[in-house]
Amino acid sequence: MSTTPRVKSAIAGEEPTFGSVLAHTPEVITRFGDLYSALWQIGTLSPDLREMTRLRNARVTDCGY
Amino acid sequence: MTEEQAQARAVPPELVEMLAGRPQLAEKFQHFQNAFHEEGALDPRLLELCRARIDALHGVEQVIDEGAGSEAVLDVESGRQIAGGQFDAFAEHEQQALSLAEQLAIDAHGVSDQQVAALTTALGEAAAVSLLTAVSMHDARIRLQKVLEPFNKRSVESQ
Repeated sequence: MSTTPRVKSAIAGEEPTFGSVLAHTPEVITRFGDLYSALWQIGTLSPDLREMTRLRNARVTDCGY
Repeated sequence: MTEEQAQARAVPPELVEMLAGRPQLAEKFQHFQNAFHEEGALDPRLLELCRARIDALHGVEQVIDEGAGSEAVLDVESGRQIAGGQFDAFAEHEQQALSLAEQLAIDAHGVSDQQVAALTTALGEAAAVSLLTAVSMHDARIRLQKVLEPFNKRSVESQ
């Protein structure tokens, strides 16, 4: 996968990152943040287990997380 | 399929049922999905075309209302063509979006700089980002549904 930024940042002065690119659609990014927080912060799984699965998923999908 | 039906399909009752154990999550997912419609940057037809292609790749049955008439976001023939991977009859920007959505679902690493550049040029950055986000989440949602479905059916049967 390319490491070249494909879409410009929507925030003046900021590098193109996941957040600054998604800022092209402010309502979408706001609600995505809300959903993502709920997904990772609310629940019965232990933080260790969640982090372990997140790391494994990132490695398998070749994500830099 | 009308725009209203397309929206309902973004968060189908089956998914809400599956997430019944986490109603707050289901509510936030619905709120998030509605953003693509409410923000207005994205053509509902274009989104539905891409969703239909991802559904076909994952073996999800398409539900298209043949009586939708002029309100139709996606007609039956278009649905058939998408299911078969035939994009020739669609507008150029629709073909670009369909090819990118298809590649994303098959292997996200295979999405090229050229594909994203073509889409961004055709739609503008806001609509392109909105489409890529919506398509990615649809793919993730279908995968989640595929994983949870057997458990859900077992749970319902045991009640």
